[in-house]
Amino acid sequence: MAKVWWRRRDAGATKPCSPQRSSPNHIACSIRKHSPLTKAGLRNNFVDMSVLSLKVNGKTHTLDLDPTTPLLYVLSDDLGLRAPKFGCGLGQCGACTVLVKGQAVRSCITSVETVQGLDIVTLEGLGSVDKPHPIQKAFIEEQAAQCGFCLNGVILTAKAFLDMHPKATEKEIQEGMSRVLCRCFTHTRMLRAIGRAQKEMAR
Amino acid sequence: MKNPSLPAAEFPMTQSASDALARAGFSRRAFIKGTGALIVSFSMSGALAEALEAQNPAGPFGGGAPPDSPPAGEVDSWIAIASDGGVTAYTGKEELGQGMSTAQMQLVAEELCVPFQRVNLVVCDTSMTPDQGVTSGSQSHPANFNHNNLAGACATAREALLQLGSKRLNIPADQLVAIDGEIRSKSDPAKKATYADLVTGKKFDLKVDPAAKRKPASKWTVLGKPLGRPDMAAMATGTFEYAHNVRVPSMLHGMVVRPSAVGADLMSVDDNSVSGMPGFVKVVVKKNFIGLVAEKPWQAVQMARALTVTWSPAPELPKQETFYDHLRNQKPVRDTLLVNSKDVDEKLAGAATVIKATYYHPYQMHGSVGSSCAVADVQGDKATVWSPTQGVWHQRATLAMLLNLKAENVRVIFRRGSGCYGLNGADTVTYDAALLSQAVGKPVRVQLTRRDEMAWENYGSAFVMDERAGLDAQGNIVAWDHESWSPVLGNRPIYTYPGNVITGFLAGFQPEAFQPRSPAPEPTSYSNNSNGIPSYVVGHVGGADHGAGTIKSERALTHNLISHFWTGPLRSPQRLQNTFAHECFMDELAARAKADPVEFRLRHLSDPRMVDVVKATAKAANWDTRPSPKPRANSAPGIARGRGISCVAYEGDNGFSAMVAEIQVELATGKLTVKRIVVSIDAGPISNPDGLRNQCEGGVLQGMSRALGEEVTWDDHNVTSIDWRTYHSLPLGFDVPKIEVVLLNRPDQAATGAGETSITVVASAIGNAIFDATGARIRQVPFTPERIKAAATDLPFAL
Repeated sequence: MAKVWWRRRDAGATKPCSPQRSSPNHIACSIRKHSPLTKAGLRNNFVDMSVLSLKVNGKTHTLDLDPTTPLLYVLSDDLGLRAPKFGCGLGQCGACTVLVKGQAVRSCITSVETVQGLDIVTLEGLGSVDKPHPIQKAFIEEQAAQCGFCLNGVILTAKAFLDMHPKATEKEIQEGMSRVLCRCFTHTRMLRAIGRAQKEMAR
Repeated sequence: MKNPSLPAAEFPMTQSASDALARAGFSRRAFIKGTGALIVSFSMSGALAEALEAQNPAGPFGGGAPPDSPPAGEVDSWIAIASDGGVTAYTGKEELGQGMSTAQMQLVAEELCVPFQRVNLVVCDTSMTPDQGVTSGSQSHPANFNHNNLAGACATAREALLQLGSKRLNIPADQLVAIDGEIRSKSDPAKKATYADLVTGKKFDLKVDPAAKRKPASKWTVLGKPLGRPDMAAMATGTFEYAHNVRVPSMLHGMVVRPSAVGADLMSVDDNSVSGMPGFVKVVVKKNFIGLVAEKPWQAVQMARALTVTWSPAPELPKQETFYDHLRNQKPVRDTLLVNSKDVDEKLAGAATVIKATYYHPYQMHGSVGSSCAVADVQGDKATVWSPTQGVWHQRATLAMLLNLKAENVRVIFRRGSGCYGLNGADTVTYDAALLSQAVGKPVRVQLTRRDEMAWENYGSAFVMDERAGLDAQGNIVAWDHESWSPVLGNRPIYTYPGNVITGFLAGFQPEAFQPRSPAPEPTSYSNNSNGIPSYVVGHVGGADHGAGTIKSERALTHNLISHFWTGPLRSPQRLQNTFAHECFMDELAARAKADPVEFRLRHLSDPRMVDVVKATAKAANWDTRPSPKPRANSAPGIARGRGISCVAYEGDNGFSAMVAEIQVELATGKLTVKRIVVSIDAGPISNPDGLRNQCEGGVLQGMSRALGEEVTWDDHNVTSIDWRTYHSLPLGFDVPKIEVVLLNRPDQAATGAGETSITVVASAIGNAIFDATGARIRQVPFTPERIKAAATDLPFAL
């Protein structure tokens, strides 16, 4: 553990929540409350850098970093993954979604320390261009994207929802997707793709 | 990690091409040499560029196209054939998520008679691609799919290949055919030569010939087909490289700190407030621009939050509650007359009935789902940026001004960003990254916060629109008068105005000056680019009728005034706002004439393509022919149902669309549900029917979101719509209506725009349907439940 001149680890903060206990569909593992970002606090506190172990797409990574860093930054910057994306940093749009133990979690508001050791899957880990997961295949077949920036959150949120509710009705699926944004408004095709995936995954 | 200095190809290129490019670095010439492809080198020598610059002290380009972009009139600027038979096409029209790359690849494959898979497309890179201005305004389809530019170059090249084949095979060209990348004898397919054989060692060295014969649509085998997008698999598996994913060796991370209020000036910055934090590199200040650089992105985020900055007090913003009155009364103004038959007042005085109405449209934002991001590498006198900008050449010219570099030393590489729908934060964040990179001499990546993306962008402008028309005793329109007020500030940076976007302004550049003008001069040339002219007038300017309608007495007058917020093009800029007013007002006139809204429109339209889209839509929707509003007896208690129609000749002649909306309103709450949308589009010859359908569907729903919920809000000093709780976009889970798209294929017509056509008619179609259902006319966007409830409650027969 390296000692650095920075913000103190918030020893008394909320216990890391388990994604298992969060709502089935949208996450929200929240997340250790950050210590207040007062200027004095920043200047005068020390923080422990932590050696953390992250299991992403079946591979374990050992990283030395500020444990309050949001998972998104670690995935995209330290691990160089492209799928989880910064959309709002507020857990409002879904672009940063990853699966943690099968649950859709918003990685922009999930501190990395709360998910260490847990199974994390990103969109790249779900399937590949050569071997796409049935839900990815459904999106390709329905041509369900325009710019595609939101696809990460759309597909992973739908995947977690369908795993939990394989027999969901169209209306329920729509409700299950109610906290995901697509600003190109490819809604019609996306919902059709999720319906197609549902049938495929039921086989 | 992928080396980002590889070329800006949207799709994987052949290995030989890719290897050669890697070897060649930035040089297209070297790429060509390495692959054996034939291409003219267009780089201008430094001395010549300097000489030209010296002749033009006003600016490197004097507002025109830069002298060293690949000339659009040369075939070699557009296509190159490699020794492995692969075709590389260079385009200045980007993929913004609308399938334009796929359609352009189809075009190249079709015209050059090569398999689709063999086409590689290089998109917008100032070291390689021609300057086609910006990718915007539904201009890509008309620009590249008619007789010039990419289509013209491909057709010219095919004819040249036939000639080369004729010489090589000693067979007359008319007995040859181009198939599958080969020139073959029609009678003996064994006699053939591949394109690669024919061009090796030579370049085309030909002017693009607009008369070169295009393949007729009836013979198309690739173009016009619903081909899937080659980028779809990479997007769906998370491997596609967006601007946000660009990583460069030694790259640092920047954040910006925007002013505390609109119009505030910087008083002081205390570097010490963050200089002790881990990963700190530098605080960068340039006039009112503040940014900082850190080793890691999360460090930069925290430093931006912690940086101590003091700003001067700023003047109060006009009150939002009375903003539309403020617009009407503000000075100075710039007045423009689009049409003026000079007899409008007289005709209105003689009309049996005169109707007036005022419509209001708020500022709205692009609101990209991913906040804008760019990477810049400025070292010494050279700069390379990876940017989601819509105009790489504009970026290059204005970055050179911002960084005080020579334009030819700046390379701008387009990388797709989050869908932009116009001038979002792409240009401004590229300036952010470039200023920070220059200050630290290392590559810097910047992605804006959600708040900075939304509070500091070039919004789609607010509008107040007065409509006035007269009906004769038979219920025909005899005169139409349109007048609008709209605030503007900044715009696209074009070649000379970095100050047109936020960062350029903060760093000390002025936006393009507002030029007051009142009264407006009489119109001398016709343009309905803004759709300020209603579709139903004759549009008589310069001795000829240019409009889509029959009404001879016409006037359209616009007033621009200075905005407090930055403004710029947002999908269907001005066209959407004006069409909302025109098409709702047309419905008001039909209701006053007690005419069916479809019949009433057809009665006042002359353009056959407009007539066709209206008829096709009404037919597909099984239109209920009768005047609006709907007789109340037919509705269930508490629920009102209705249908509305709207249509547009986009920009006057750049695509045609009509829409029928079927809606229901819960009268007690004002809750609106759109049940069904039928939309027709005529965009000329259809290049990819599935892509066009996707554009229409997306346009419909984005239009709904803008009509029903989206509005920029502010308090005394700041924009307050700064995230997805305060700016209301319809999420994926809303009650999506059934959408039916009717595509009208026009292989005999020129290709027109398609990306902004369907969105233009949404608000008016829904507004007209609300009127049909409830008898209440909502003249203000967004149609919130409160507004609908209030309007419906005011009616004598409500509830």
